Amino acid sequence: MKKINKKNNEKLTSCKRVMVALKGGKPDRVPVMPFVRDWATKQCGFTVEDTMNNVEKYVFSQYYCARSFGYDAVQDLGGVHAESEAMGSKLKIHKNESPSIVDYAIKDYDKDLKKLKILNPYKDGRLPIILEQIKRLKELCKGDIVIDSYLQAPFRHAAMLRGNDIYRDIIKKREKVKELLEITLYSQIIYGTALVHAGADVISISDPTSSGDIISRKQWLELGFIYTKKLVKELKKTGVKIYLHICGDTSDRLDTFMDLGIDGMSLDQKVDLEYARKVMGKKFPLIGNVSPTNLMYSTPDEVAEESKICIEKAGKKGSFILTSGCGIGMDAPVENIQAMVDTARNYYY
Amino acid sequence: MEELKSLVEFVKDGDDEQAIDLAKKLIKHSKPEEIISSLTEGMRELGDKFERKEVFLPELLIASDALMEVMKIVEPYLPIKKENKKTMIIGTVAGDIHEIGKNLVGVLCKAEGINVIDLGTDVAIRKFIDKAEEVSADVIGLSTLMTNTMKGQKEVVEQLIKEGKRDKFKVIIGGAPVSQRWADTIGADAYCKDAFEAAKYLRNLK
Repeated sequence: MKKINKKNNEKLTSCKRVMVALKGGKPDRVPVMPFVRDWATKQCGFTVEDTMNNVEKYVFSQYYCARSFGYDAVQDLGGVHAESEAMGSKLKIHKNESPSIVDYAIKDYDKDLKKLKILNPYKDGRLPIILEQIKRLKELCKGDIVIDSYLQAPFRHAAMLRGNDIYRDIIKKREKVKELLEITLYSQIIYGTALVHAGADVISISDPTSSGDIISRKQWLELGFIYTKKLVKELKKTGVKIYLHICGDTSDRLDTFMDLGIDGMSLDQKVDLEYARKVMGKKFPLIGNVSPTNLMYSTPDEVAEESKICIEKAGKKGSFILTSGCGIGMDAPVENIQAMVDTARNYYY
Repeated sequence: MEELKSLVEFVKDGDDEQAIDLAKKLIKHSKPEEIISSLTEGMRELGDKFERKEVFLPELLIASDALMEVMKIVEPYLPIKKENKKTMIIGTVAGDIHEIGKNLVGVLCKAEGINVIDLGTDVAIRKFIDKAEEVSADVIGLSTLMTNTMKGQKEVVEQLIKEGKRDKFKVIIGGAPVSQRWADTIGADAYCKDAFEAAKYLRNLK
């Protein structure tokens, strides 16, 4: 392992560095922000359950890991599915696994759609806890480390209100899905704005439901794309930076991501970054995409090599943030995360 | 013959209402084995389209729903030859509640004439092994969609070895984060990249 460059070689703060990359520029070095929630709680000796309802513990786990591993962002990934929980789906919090929805709010469109209430970020479910986390993180980070806040895409939120049946519905009950999407879009505009008011520097819109392995380019354009674009348009009015993450192989629809109005695109490890760079142009900010499986099971040297390849493929001239292609598992070895972070920290422009 | 072709098309299109009506009519004057084999062939064609990215998961889901409905109508007419049937246990490993892929494996393997026992999601290691022994399963199919829970697949194989039962069952794995490399690492018999590959594995199993 190479030794880390001394911190004083870093001319920019983490926040500035990420912002430069998201503006299509070349910062002092490659920014890096691992997607970690459960992993970060484990480093601090907390269970996932501990941090789901305890602001201080969650905030500490994020801040501690960003500081001690030297990466550039803290995240409020504790917010996964929180909007859908706030609107009636039941979330089960496990001791040491990711939370999951166990009961969906929409069982019958005719009965349940009209009962659906737009969320109130300051009142419903765990949303006030998440907003509090962001405020506390902002106080701690003082504009130095980026506050990266998680927001479900309207289509993702709809799926977390309806369950897997949404995939059947998009063929068989398309109009009902659109009705639901109008509601989830509106709720995400409100919650997204609340995230910015609480202190989010960057919003990461997440849409695993639109995975390139699950729906076609056409279905993406007709559902995920349209509503995400509307959401981005509204949230950009606040001035916040926005990037989107979609899972799976989206190679056949990379061009569409450039029409969303987003500041960057976070790609799954199934997408070849060299190809993405070619399709999306030299300047479009790309974020990715070390394999989370390799982060869990490969050696630190292999992770460093893979990280370097990501940078060479998409980040040689800036406009790039190094991270994993999806969320990092709790048991990923510390040495592997450090290897990814160090590769970016040693890559000066 | 024309009607059988139409039935296959209805199933492939996921048009369950038309498929059910036609199946009820067809079963009165066709051999149930013929209906099933045509449907299975149709699903394989759909698998080829999936491979070529001409159809995606929503289309597969509604087609497999229609297939299940038709199977319910046809199955009672099938002669019982249980002793020849291969049995597979499937489930999503502990800590993971994702089920779309696993369910598709179940439907497609049923269409191949496999006796499928689905243990559901978040299934404990013990339960896989106990159930496999109880029903003398040929295959244990382990699904997972998260890197956090991949280890569940490994633990099932390890536990089978520990109990001296590894040779009793074939273990096949699937799910977004796993790969042939992972199958080799943990000593699984096969990695199936999608439900169609799993069905093919079961079909070719001697």
